[in-house]
Amino acid sequence: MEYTFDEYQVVNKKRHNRFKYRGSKTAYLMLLPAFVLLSVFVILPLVLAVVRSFQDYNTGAWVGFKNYNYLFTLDKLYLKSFLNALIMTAIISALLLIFSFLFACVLRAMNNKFGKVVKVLIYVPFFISGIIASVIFNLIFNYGGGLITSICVLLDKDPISFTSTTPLAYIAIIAPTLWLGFGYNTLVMYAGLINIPEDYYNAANVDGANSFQKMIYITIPNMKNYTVLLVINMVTAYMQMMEIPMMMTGGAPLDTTLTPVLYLFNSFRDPSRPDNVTIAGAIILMLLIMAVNIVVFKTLRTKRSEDA
Amino acid sequence: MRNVNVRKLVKTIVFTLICLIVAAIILFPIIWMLPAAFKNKAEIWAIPNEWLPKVFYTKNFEKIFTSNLVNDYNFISSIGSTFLVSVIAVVLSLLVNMFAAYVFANFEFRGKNFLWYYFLITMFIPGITILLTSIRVVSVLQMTDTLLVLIIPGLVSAYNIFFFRQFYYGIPRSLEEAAIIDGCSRFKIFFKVFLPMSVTPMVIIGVSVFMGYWNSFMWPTLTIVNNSEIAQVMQVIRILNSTYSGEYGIVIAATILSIIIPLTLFIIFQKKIIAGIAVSGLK
Amino acid sequence: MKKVLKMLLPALIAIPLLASCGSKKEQEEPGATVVTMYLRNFEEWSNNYMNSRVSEFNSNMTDGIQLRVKFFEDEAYTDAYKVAKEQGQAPDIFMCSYGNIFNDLVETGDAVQLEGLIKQEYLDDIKDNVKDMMTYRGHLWSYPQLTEPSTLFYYSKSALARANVTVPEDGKLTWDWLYDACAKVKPTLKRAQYCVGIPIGSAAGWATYGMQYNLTNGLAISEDWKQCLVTADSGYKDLCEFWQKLYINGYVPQGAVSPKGSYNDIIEALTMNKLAMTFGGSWSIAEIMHTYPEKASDIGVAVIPTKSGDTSKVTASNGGWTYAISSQSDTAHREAAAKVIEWFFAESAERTAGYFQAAYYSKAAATKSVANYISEHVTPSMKEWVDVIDGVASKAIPEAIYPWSIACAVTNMLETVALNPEAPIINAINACYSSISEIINSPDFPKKPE
Repeated sequence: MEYTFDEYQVVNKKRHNRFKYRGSKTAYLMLLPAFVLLSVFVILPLVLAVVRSFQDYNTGAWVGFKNYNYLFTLDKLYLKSFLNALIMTAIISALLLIFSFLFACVLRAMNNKFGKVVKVLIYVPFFISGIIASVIFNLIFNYGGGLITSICVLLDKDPISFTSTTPLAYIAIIAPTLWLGFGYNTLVMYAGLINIPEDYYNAANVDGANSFQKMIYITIPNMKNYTVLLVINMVTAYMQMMEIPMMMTGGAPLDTTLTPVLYLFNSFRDPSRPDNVTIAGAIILMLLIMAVNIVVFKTLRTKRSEDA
Repeated sequence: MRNVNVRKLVKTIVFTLICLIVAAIILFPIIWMLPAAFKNKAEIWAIPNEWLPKVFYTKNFEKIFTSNLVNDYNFISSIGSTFLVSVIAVVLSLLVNMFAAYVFANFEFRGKNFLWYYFLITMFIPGITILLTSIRVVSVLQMTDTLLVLIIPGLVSAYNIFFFRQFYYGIPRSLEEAAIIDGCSRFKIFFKVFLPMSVTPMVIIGVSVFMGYWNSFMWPTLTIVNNSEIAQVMQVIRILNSTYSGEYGIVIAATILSIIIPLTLFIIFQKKIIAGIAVSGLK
Repeated sequence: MKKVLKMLLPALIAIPLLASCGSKKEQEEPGATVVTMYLRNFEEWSNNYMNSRVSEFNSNMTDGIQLRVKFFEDEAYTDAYKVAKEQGQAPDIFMCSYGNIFNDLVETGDAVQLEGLIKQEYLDDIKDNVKDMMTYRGHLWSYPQLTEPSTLFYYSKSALARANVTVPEDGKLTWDWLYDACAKVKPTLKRAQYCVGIPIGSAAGWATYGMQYNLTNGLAISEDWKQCLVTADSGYKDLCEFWQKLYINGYVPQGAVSPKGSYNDIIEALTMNKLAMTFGGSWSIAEIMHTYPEKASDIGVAVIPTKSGDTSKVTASNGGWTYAISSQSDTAHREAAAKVIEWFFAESAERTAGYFQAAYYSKAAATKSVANYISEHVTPSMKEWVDVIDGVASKAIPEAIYPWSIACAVTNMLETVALNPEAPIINAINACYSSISEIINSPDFPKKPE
């Protein structure tokens, strides 16, 4: 039996589809564990959270936006905590981007054994949690007898409190956070840098460009995608900062270092604040983080399709 | 020509110096911390503070190794249970996430698109949003205060599935098709073809899963409340931190012990981890 | 494949093991009613004392009841209680501080009323002023153990002597005396040593109730919770000026200098010579006697310095702990729990007073019988301190029960004047007034409990 070309196409497609759909039972089976776990431990709690954010904690009655309202009228601390987190996120992200980019450039130039060792060394803090970092930095910032206080005393100056005065308290939060994130960000930047084709620089050399021009016209534009991704990572992570502020300052002074997640964590423990208000607050946080991510993803995607 | 060489030399020296300074800054807090574990109550917060202890005080470690530091919490057993939890979680998590990634990369089936977005959306849900209701869920499931509550809820990660899926896209289709023609089931293909090829991403993701479990604080704090035997490291350190703020050497000793395991892990896998950053950075 | 299976096998075996590991049940004596009790982790001496009482209780197997006690560190307590409650396994007996009885016990329905569970004679034994602090909706919801005034004044005798500062014989300390003392003490101190410690952070919210009341005969909002009073008279302005003066002259440290960093253990900074004088709760005395007995003779205790120096006025608020019976327990457990509470805090004045002895009488009794017992048995050497504490405690007001955000507004005001000395004080007071007004005018603001 012979097929015409068109018939052949149809049969082939069918066969291909059969191949593609073959074993969809296996597919469901292999997907099942992840699906169940995700549904039970992420989606279900999320649905419950949304429901509870519209209910009264004690009675379970529907109360509309009352829980959300609480955060905007009765306890404005939550709004303030967003502002704090925003300020700290902006400072930390900017500093990390600049430092890690510059140091990645240095590392690229140091293309030897020593450079490799340094890469490993600066990555060490990445394995340390916020709790541990705070314990370590407490030895430095502690007002009662830390390193800085000791240095002040040796210089015959009055000790400075980094954990209870503005704006120094920001430093007590920012320093450990930078310390934890610097290695990772630098190595990502480094990976981006070595991915820039050498030809670009060779061509620029032929044109007689100096290092500054090469930086502006080649390096920085080519790092755009890496930078955007790092920014998403950082914004998502630092808007949810909690362990370091909790341990270093506890939100003091004047609640200037209180972060949204710390506020929510505290209010979970504060019996006078209804849980459902806490949940409502957490949903606001989620929407904010989703919005940031979606906006950046969208711009990134259009950017990529343009590139392609 | 000589001029160029001199410039190169100067450049190398300057860059080496910068590297040295940065590495020193990064390592300084750790180096400053180490001797503090051997300081007694009088020295730890003394002013002015010295780097090395005058009296080499080993009681901090002795205390750490004896049981019942505070309210039945035993630090060494918390290290043990955290390690157990993390290792089991790594194995299970890799398996579950790789299964899912394999399916999304290589199968066509009804509802695939929907499921993909269903999975993907969970990437953007902050832990704190579902914290309270998750506690409700695990307590209905009678999981509170057991090791299960530490391991199970965090196993699936959309990000890890995404990561593996990208990796599987890079594996040539022909390999799989050849195996199908050989009569292998798709399930078997996963173990025969895909699993052996994904050692590198497994190390990268495995280490990050391990670190996630090792360093987790909020979840164990709120779910392991009545069973101090399986309390997790960060939880115990936090409690030590507020109980022994005077005898801070104890907290430092615990801190040092708690970073030994992650650091060993890093040293063993450092080549793969550092190489992996190049990939994982671009998610 | 085999490799994978080998890897998986231990994990698969481990899971059921793990599941069983957590749900271990403690051995129960046959026939005994097991009563669970959550306690807070306090100072070591306090925990030891409670532990020994618990084993005493259990060794006698009083009324066939077995007591299971769990201690929790500060925040772990709240977590543990909350999670246990969520699972329907709240402890039969749990702790509540006076200020939180309404919110945590009554409003939530977590506790059962004690009438009918605990013998009436024991309920009648509670001191009247204490009873007033804990009666809501006409019922008692928890049984008091003790009261402790949140603010006393401690000083190092040697540090003051070095600076030629004398403490008035009559113990009437004024702000002027304090300024003068600080001015004299300051030059004798080294760097990183400070004249006087005051409550900071959230403690400035609850440990200043006494000072606020001393100056204004009221607190930040009116009795009926309808009006904000911080601008009503000059009292809050005086307090702000006091606060600011201590800061700008460098008399107080900018932050916490005690290792723990909280007002609760501020006395440690005094014993470490980082402070020469300090405000501190009455519990500090027990801390000195147990942890730094060698310093005890050097430390003096007085009523806090006030604007007028009049020690007959309110100078502190009374805090302290009470024990509630869970509404999640069944009748048998409620009755057993009531018996436990009676045994610990009511039945025998001698037994209850044991805790006060161990505390070096740094706390005031909550029941009449125990108060009598203590006054008969107190050792002469402790008499001086006990008199100060009792005097302050008997006049002290209860801690405010209005929403904490109001206390936070006051804390913010004090912190603002301390941190921004250039800005006029009145700005901080006005800001405090407007934020409190906003809170109490909000439709969601709770009504004052009765």
